Amino acid sequence: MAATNRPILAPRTAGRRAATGQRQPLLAIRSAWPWLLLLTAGLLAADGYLIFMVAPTDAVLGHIQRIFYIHVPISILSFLGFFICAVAGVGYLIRRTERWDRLAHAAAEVGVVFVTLALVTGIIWARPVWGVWWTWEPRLTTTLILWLIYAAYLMIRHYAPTPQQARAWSAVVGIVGFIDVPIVYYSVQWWRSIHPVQVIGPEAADDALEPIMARILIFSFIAMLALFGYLLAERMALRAAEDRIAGIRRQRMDWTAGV
Amino acid sequence: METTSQNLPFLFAAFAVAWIVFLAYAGYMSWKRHTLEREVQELTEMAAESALDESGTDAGAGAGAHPHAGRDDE
Repeated sequence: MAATNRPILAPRTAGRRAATGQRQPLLAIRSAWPWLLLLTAGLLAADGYLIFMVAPTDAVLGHIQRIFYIHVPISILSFLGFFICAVAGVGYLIRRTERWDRLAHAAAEVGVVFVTLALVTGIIWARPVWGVWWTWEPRLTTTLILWLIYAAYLMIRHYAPTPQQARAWSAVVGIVGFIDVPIVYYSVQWWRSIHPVQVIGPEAADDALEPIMARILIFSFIAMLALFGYLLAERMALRAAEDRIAGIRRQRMDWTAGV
Repeated sequence: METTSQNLPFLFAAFAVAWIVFLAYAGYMSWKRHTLEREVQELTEMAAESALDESGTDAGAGAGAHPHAGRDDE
């Protein structure tokens, strides 16, 4: 490799390595990020075109129904985020490795962003359709509980006395909290609800949507999935950088203290 | 229910909020990661220099070899 005067990120000798900590690759797929970002941007632009220019206007709800093309994928992907968080939490409790914890943390945070937007877009849809911004009906209430559970997850990560306790406690909350996800999904069946019934998933009727609407919804879901993947990868890389900084600082403190 | 034209501001608001939040979140993470990576680089350089100073550089054992020269690790 050609010699350069570029500053090093990680030294090679054992002495320097001891002083600065082991190198940690931020993320294996990092080199693919520009492509993932371009792909995501392209899919989202195409999705916008389909939603506003191709999708038919709903005969009953009018233009406001177009919110559904982002509201539904965002809601489903928040469930995916919490599912990954729960699985990674189990992985962490079994293996106790940083990688599982990093995945769980990133998935929970991205999941909270998605479920927050699901709530907000739902509230904005409800005002003209139901005449109120919020009502304590089962789907909305269980979704708000889901938001509170994973907001608590992020608070535990921040306020736990030690990093080890933060990892273990949050893993347990991430696993137990996932119990609310099927409750949210089935809430419109289990209780009397004014929320529209499912249009996607095991309980959705075959003719729940017009074919063109169903195809655009699937495309929206793919575009949002690309965005979800990009945000998850970016959050994991940020966590890796945070961990690396903390490791270097800890080692420098030990070194200064003569440990 | 309000008429279709009255609903348009709500439609605009929903999409605007979603895209502003996504862009702000992605932008914040990218900015924070770049800041942290720069900090990692600075701390690593400081640590490497401190390690070299402590070892006394063996009275010029590596004369002519700048500690940062020849590195293309990342």
